[in-house]
Amino acid sequence: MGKKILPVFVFFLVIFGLAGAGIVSQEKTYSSTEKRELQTRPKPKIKTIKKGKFQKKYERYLSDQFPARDSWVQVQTGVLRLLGKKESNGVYFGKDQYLLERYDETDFDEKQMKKNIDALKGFVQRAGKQTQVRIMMVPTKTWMMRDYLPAFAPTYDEQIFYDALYETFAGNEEVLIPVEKELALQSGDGSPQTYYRTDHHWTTAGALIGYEAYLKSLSETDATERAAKKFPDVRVCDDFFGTTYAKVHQAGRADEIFIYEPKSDLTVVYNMGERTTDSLYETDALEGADPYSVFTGGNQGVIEISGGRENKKTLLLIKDSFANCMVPFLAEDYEKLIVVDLRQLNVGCDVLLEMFSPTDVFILYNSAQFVQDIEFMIKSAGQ
Amino acid sequence: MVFSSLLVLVRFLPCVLLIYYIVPGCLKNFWKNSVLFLFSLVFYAWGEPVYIWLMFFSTVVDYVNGGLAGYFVERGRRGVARIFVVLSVVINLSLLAVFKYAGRYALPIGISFYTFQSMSYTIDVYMGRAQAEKNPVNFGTYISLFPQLIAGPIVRFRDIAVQLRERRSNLLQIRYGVLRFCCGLGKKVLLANQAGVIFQTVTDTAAGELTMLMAWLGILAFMLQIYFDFSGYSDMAIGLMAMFGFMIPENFNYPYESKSITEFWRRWHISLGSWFKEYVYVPLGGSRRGAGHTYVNIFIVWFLTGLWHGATVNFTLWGLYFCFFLIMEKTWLLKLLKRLPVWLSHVYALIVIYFGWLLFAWEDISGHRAYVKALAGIGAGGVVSDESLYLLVSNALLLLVMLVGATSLPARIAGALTKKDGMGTAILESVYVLAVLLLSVAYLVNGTYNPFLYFRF
Repeated sequence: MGKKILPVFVFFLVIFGLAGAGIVSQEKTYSSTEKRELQTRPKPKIKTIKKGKFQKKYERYLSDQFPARDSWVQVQTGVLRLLGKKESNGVYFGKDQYLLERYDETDFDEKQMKKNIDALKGFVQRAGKQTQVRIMMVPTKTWMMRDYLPAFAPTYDEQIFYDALYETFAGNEEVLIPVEKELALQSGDGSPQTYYRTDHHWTTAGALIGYEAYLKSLSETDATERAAKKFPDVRVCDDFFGTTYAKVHQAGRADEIFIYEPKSDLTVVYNMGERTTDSLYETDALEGADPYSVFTGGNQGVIEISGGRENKKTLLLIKDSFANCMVPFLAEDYEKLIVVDLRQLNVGCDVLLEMFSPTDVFILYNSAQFVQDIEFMIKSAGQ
Repeated sequence: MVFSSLLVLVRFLPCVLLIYYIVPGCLKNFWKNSVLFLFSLVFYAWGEPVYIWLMFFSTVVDYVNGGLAGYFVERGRRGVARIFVVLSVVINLSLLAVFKYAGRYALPIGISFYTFQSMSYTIDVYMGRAQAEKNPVNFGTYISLFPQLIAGPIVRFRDIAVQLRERRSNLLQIRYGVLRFCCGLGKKVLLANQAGVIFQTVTDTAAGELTMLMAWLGILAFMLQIYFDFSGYSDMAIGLMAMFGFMIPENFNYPYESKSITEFWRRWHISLGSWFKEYVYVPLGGSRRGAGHTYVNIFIVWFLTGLWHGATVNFTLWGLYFCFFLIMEKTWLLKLLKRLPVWLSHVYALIVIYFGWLLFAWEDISGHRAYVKALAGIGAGGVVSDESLYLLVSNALLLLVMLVGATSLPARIAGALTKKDGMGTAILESVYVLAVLLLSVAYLVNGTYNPFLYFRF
């Protein structure tokens, strides 16, 4: 008899054990790996119970606050991979340990794409009257590295986006920097790693290719030499697991983060005087949950950088997170560099032009993030 | 609530089991039944608290009607008793008509199951097959028993009338319950939900991109999903009932191993089939009134079986589709199949079942034309594409596991491995329980896709 009921014992041990662990474990309000607020224990009220709201929240709370949540996710993804699955939570397990986000038509919504590109064109026409405008749309890692996808894995054809972009700017192509072509040229053997394995961003070396392309588009004759001098060779992190990793908790290999140390004495003012410093790097972030924030401390509303070069030139950089690692390259080329993240700011582009009277405007986005920024249209329109 | 959820696994079950085992079994299980009744109400009310009144109403109606029917039957006044049976049937069917078929309200969960259970009670009392239950707690427990409340098996009152009062839990039965529950949990979370992801991918594919390969994979995935989903739920129900000391009838018996459609319906959703047989087919005269009458009766039963699943055309078509094959088999096909090699019978049955699911899978039949074209390879999407190859390659192993899992082979292997009552068996079973539980929790913590198909009915 004793032996026979061993499975009963195991069953009760597991369900009571998990129940107990859930009750004693500490509540977390934010998941740094998933980058989202977690549901905390809801308070039961007659009204919310009647409507079923409490019940929904309670179930989300159980899942969000499940003890050792990340480890469970890791186990599940591991099993799915053993079963031959090539993706989990919208992430492909690519060749050479690359984790590649899956993008579908819905991620590049045709209507939103057209709206944003048209809005961009409108802004460029207005800004182009007084300034020199350049646009760089950095392709997604998945598109640039589509050779690394698992066999037959479907992915969005980003060429559709670039075709739409070039078509809209027909006759004014010089504002578009063909970074997608430059990156493709430098993707063979012996080229530096241009995208992280575990994060969706490009590496600092990748951003350097973008920087060189930017210089070339301005017809700087010494573009290649100037870029070469800025090669990022200071390794600040060798165990970087980025946002893509956080979706699956599976990675064969950690990433390294390299930075370039600007030679000039810079003054960096965050968010209109919120904080002033002399560095573009936040080394504390390397120890935190999001090491990519080492670049300018993550996304900031406005960063004003001065002390690069006395050439009376002001560059207004309108950007998303892909630009963060390129800022150090650009900072030394301008007397003033204004870095603006529209998503963190409640001001329109035309106001920015008035406020900072830049001589140059540089718009740098990742293609997918650009298409998905539903506010871009409004904010680029001005007021 | 859904069995296969963290809420049930780490909150509801620990609570109900703990309290149930602590409470004494005296007074003919009054206290234990009260615990089950209360927890069942919480279980039911969790999702949509309002509908608890509906179940209450149905319970009271049948408690009163059944009681009165029993009272008059005992006194030999069957004519009066019949009034209450008719009343019970009319009220229950009206509830179904209003809440399920009128389409004006959100479907109250489990309504098709508990109305059928409570109708069976009044009818059984009238037919003298069961005694009227005087204790309202016992009757309430019967109607609302949470393990089988929302997706079956449909338990007839007389199957558990005695057990409600006399049952005793013993550890061997609990052990059986634990093993059975884990089997169902694994089927549901580890297999059905994964098959569901494949099916969903195919459903979400635009008609113009649907290839022949994908279309075939889609129905196959649905066929596997619905089996593991529903039979997994029944396993969990039977397992939980065993943990509470109840023995209830089986609902599935490896239906995809059938050699004919007649056999399939003896192995698939057994409790629904026998309900219709007992309360519709036989009272109509069954097969005793000559061939013509028999076919009419079969037609009525299958029309109702289809309708039971939903008011949309596809379910009715699905019922009539099976009706057609059942009549064919009854008249000549079974005789022919018996003379053919066995594997040919299997192929025949599987093909008919497979295309049956094509009718069943989508309530909106407007997409069926394009889908059938894709199945035939003449759809706009062509025969294969990268997407469909990707779907096949990344799910091939999973599909293979499920195809084997849908047969009796795993059960036979497990039976052979655990034949002896020794330490080896105990350890093997414990590892099985541990593995299924932990993996299911891992899937549930991460998973967002966790529907129960039969909650719709």
